[in-house]
Amino acid sequence: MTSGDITVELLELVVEGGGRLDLEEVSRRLGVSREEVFKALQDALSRGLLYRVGEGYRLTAIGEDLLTAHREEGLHKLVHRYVHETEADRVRDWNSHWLRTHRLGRAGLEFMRSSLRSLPARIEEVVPLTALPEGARGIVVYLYGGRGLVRRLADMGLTPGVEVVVVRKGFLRGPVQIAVRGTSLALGYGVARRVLVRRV
Amino acid sequence: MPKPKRVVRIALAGNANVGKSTFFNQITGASQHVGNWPGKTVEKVEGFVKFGPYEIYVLDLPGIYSLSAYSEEEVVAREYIAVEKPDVVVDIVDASALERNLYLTLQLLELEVPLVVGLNMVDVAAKKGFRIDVDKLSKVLGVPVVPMVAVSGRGVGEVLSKAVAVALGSEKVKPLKVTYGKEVEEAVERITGLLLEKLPSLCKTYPARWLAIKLLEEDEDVIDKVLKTPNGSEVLESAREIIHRLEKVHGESSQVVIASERYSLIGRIVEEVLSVEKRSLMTLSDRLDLLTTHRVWGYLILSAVVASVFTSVFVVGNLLSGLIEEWVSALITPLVPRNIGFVSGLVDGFIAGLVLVIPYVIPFYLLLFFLEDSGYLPRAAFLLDSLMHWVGLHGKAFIPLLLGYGCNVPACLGCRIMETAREKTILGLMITMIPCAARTIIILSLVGSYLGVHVALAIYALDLAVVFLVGRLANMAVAGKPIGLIMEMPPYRVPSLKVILVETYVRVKDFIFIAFPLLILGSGFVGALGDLGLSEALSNTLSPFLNFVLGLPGVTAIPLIFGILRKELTIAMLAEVAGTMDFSKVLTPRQMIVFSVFTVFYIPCIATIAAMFREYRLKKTVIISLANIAVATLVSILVNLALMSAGVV
Repeated sequence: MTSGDITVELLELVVEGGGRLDLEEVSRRLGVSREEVFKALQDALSRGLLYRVGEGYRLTAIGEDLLTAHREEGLHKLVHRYVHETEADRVRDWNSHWLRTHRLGRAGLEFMRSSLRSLPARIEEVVPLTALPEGARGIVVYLYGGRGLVRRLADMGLTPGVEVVVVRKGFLRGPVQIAVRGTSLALGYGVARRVLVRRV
Repeated sequence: MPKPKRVVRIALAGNANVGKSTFFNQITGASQHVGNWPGKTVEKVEGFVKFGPYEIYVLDLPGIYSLSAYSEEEVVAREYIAVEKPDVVVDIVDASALERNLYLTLQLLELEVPLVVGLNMVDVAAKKGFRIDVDKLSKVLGVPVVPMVAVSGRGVGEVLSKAVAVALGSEKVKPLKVTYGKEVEEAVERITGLLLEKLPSLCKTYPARWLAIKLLEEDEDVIDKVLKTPNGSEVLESAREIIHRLEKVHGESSQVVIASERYSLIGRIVEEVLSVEKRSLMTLSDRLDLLTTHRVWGYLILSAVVASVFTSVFVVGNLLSGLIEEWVSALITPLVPRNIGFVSGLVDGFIAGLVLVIPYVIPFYLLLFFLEDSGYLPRAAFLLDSLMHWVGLHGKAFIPLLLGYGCNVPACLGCRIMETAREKTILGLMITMIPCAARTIIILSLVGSYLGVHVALAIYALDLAVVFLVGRLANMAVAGKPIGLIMEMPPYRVPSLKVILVETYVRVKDFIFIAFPLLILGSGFVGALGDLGLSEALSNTLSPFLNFVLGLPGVTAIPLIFGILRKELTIAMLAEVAGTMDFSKVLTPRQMIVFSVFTVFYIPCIATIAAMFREYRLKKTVIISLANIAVATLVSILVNLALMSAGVV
């Protein structure tokens, strides 16, 4: 764990603990020495990520930004990984998989839940568009990728909540043809896998 | 009679495949002019119409789905609308896909331009069982909405007269103000305030609210503009903070938030104005669509289409070009003195142009517009997307590549169907290395007739491998990231003969104006080299390179120089220089193969260079030509070495 990682985890734990921070517990949970945690705390305070409030701590605006940025990056990595594993059909229990492979803490998980707001309780129902068979229906829940691509997909009508029907799937990782908002669109395989849908 | 009014400037906007060009062709006929937008490989199509006492200038903007900065086309369109401020924008909307089409309409409203909506294909929509309350739609949008059928011309005149009325202010409009949800509105208002206060100069060109929305969408182009204005970075900093807060509330990127809200507004509008009478059944187009994208039938049909394109280009093109050449030379040759290389070069250039345009360029455009207008091209692109991905392009790139086998010239012009400059460049480079009909003649008459067809086919296979390898390397070398396929699959329809003929005519005319002068002057220049005795000197300079690097005899230098004019001249000149038609007397089998391989790659012919210059301007044309020379040399050396080690003499 790098010192940067410890800092982010520290911020995460401050949020999770509602401002209280038990250095002993943090050191145990992160599996690093107390000295390292103490150093990270001093560092976070001096960099203006945290400030003291009575006995506890609170995140400054910069601290919150840092945490959000980290979670967003984590979110993208997670979704990316999820897409790959779903295609390989390996993930069964999404929630524990999520928690196990990425120690993002409860606050981080909450953030992701709110990001993927339309996610159903049963995460197994969310798949990349490429995983739907021909003729299947899905509801778009999330787009991931660079901002140019995401904006383009949204412009073409693929906004969260819209229903799509898979009309045709190309041969050998070919494009996916879908019907959406009364039009027919072909999305290259690499584009289609960036559209997460909930099976209907 | 009133004095002639000032020219009314109309800009046509709309999604791709909504009949915008059909509308444009209906009103302007063949009087249109096709050019390029300055510095872009985007077509600029314009025309003049007389309409009653008015002179109307119509500009057909490229077909787009949104006004973001996704493709060159979108940037061109919105810059024109915002900066040039046409008197009125006519938005052609496909009545059978109202939801997606209104997305652009809303954005045009946000640009605060006088707008008229031409509701096209109401007949198709009616067949689908859609009933659209036109008056209500007009009331909701606050601009005139005119139903029409562009193909038959119904309603076209009314659209035009409404447009003129709006442009001249005789019809008052009260455009809908597109409003968003509470959080977005707050953000937009705050950024608008900032812009008005800090960047008043920028707000004179673009509507402040529009700029604010684009900043919220993190539009690269608008961010760039803001940054270039004094105080810009300060505004951007504050805007970033506002975006950040918005994304936190919504838990989604601001772009998705804004697009979603636009679509939900559209959803409400559509619900009000559209009623679906009957459940639409599978149409013939749907059936054809499923058939032509099928993983067995689709590829079979594609092969048949490819085969017929090949046949028409090879058989018809070759036949016609032979006939025309014979005929024209017989007519012209006695009239000009052949002893002056310069003059004879000019004449040859002119003949080359004729031999190229009529047999190859015209059929090419007819075929292309037939395939395009019928709706087949997107299906071919769908089938070949995964193959083209290997070189960082997507399915659409296949079409120009295929046509390159007939003639590289129209294929290069066809590169514009790709979205970005990056894609166009990679594709252009690949096309110049595709053996056109002329190069096929060389391969066949040298290698084919002396060493057998199997060797000729091997050269073809080698060429294809090199083309894809070069494409892959270019994909790594050219800056930027490859873009994936996001393509609309428009319904199939019966192509309109008028549209095909007009589009072909206009582009052929344009090609003649651009390429002919270059072709004729270039030919004259090479001919003049002979007059000045420079071709001898050039041949002497080239000989060592040919001898030592490629293992070719010095006698091949002059044919190669003339091959730049027209590739098939290589073989004619070789016969002339060698003084025999029996090439086995001057070239060993190995030399024949190396010579053929080198000729296939070494440099695009003058006509292709002219076409590239038209599309890519000087710098990229030079780079692509140099890349050709480099690849030709490298591949020829390798082939020569391989043959030597295999013991071929």
